[in-house]
Amino acid sequence: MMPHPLTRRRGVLVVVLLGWVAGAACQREPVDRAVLNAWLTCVECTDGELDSVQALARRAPATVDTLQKDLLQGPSPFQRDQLTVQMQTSYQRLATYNANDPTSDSLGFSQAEFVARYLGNVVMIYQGRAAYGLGAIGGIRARQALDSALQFSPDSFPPNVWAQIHFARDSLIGP
Amino acid sequence: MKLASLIEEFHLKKAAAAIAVLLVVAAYLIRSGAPGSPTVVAVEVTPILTSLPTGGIQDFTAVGRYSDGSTTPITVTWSATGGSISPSGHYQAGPTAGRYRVIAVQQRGSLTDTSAVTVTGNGFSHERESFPDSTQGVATGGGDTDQVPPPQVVAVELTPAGVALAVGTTQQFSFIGSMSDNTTTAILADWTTSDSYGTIDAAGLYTAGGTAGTFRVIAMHQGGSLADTSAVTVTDDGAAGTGDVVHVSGVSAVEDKWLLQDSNIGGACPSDVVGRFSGPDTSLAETDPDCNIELAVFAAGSAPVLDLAPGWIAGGQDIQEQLPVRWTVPIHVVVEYAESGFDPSAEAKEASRLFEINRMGIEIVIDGPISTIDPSTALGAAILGGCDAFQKDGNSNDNPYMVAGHLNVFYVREDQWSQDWTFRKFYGYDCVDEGLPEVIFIRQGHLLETLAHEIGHALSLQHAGAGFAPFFLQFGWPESNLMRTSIWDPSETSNPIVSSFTTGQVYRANFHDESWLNSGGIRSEAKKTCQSVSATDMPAASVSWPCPLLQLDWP
Repeated sequence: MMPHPLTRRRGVLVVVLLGWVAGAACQREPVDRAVLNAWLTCVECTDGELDSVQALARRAPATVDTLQKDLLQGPSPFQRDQLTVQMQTSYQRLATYNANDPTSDSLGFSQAEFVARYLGNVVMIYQGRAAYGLGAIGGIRARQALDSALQFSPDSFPPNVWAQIHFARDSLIGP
Repeated sequence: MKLASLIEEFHLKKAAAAIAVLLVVAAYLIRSGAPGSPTVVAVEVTPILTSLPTGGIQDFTAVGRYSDGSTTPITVTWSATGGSISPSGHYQAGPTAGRYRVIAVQQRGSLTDTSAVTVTGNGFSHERESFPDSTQGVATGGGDTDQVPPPQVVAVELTPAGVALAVGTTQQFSFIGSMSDNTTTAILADWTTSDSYGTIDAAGLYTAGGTAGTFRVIAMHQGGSLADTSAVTVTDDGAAGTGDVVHVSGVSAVEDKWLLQDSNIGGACPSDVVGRFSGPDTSLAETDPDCNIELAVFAAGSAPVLDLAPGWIAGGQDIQEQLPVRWTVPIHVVVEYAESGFDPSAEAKEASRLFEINRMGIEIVIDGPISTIDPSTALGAAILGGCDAFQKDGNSNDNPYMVAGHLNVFYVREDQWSQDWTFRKFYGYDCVDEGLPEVIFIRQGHLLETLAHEIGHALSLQHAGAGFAPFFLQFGWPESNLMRTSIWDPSETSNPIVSSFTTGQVYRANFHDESWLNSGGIRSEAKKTCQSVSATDMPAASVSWPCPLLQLDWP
């Protein structure tokens, strides 16, 4: 029996539908926050943290959106509160340790200065790494995310983060 | 569109034929076992041991252990001594006290397992199961009636049937065959154990591993199919945990003491621990890959005294003198930027504090004035290029920004940080891989603990585990370890910033050849080598301080 003249068209339709379903399934893969956290907070990042982020972005395109949010917002308010408490504790321990050392001078900075400095650094690393990650992922969406960040005024970010955004954007090819 | 026409379009007949072929192939694969699919390698009965009163009841279950390590319930044929057992494994002890067995035989197979049952009551009797060896069978005789067939193994017994052992200790097992001529004899066995931490050799000598638990020793008759199982309960005294019989006092709050601690951290063997003793032979120090070790750990104070718990038998060549252990580690700070309020002494003090609370036995002190680098000069620019700049001159001490005998810490401003894509990832690094552990770079925007982390590298410590946070527990590393790649963990709600070293890391930092404490000549005393030295080589006044020679109370 000869095939129906519409068979090929329907076959193509089935293939397209299957592809759409498969593609939708892929896009639903959630962004693994642990992978991003490892990258956003590592010191030397020599254990494949960035490679993992790039791989994650291939499986979960929403990774770019998450990193863009991390770049723009930094750690969440809850995380900042936690860090503040932690750093206050660190300062007090350090001050106690220093006070017990008869050979040591005073710390020379207040708790507020201490917390402001190191909390600022955490935020700086966090946002800077987000920018760097976008640059490493590349592609149109990442470029758009970086371009979008550059639409802000430079003083919207710590200088280091602003430099990181430029570095990441400049490393991407294309307008 | 009608269904019939659709069916016609998709050539149902051809599809049906293809499906039929596939079904036939699938059925064949299911029947024969797909290549590489796991196979049952052992039958395991639970409970391994049980004690019942006369007439008591116990339900037994059997699982098959597969070649991939997984288990699943399996159909077995039950038999028992000293009582009765139903086809479902429901055992009822008989009226006579004694030690009996419940035996499970794999249906459509030859694998067996045995559980020991102790029936309590008045009197004691011991029955041994009689269980024909299917592969050897029983001689049926031949045409020559004068020929006496050789006795066959009709039952096997592994002794002891159950034993409790401390971690790291040994037990010799015996495998006895009951022969068809009513004699018994030792027979050869293939030995295995379910204790992945322990070992058993070809002679049946079992060595308990470092992890407590209930395991099995299985002896299978070589050339036959009869097997017996013994239950081994490995106990830990709680003070140590790995391969030792040494009672350790634990973490003492008393300063100025050595502490002896187990290197086993969270059930895993850290990869970068030295000073491993698998037995009395301390020549294995630094080379033994096993985790059967004890560690000598520095306290923060200055006069080490061996702190032994009751039960420890100190060798005659243990530490016989007291030496200062609080070495001052001088650091020379070079800054490329002078950010308002920046004070590197805070980080040095924090590093010193972290090393002290973790009993590293060293103190970090900024020694001398802080230098500054002018990036507009050729040398300044080269230095800011990273470790390679120091390698090019062949001798880091020739570099005018370096101070010999110091850890040299370069604080670099963000816009002067290397533009190399790789180096952009770092917020701090140590040039240990370039052979210059005394050179540390720290980038503007670092965390308070970054200096302590980088000094850790200079002291030969590697990253704790590999990969990111979720894997640390897998490797047994505390989440709070300072040598994590991430020293701030956003997912950790209670203690997001880490602050600990393990005792193994402390030991390594102090003893390892590649630790800058040793390679950098920081100590005024001779370098510690962790090698065995005889008593005559270590007079009381000697400054040579090898690893403590410990005589473990090995059985």
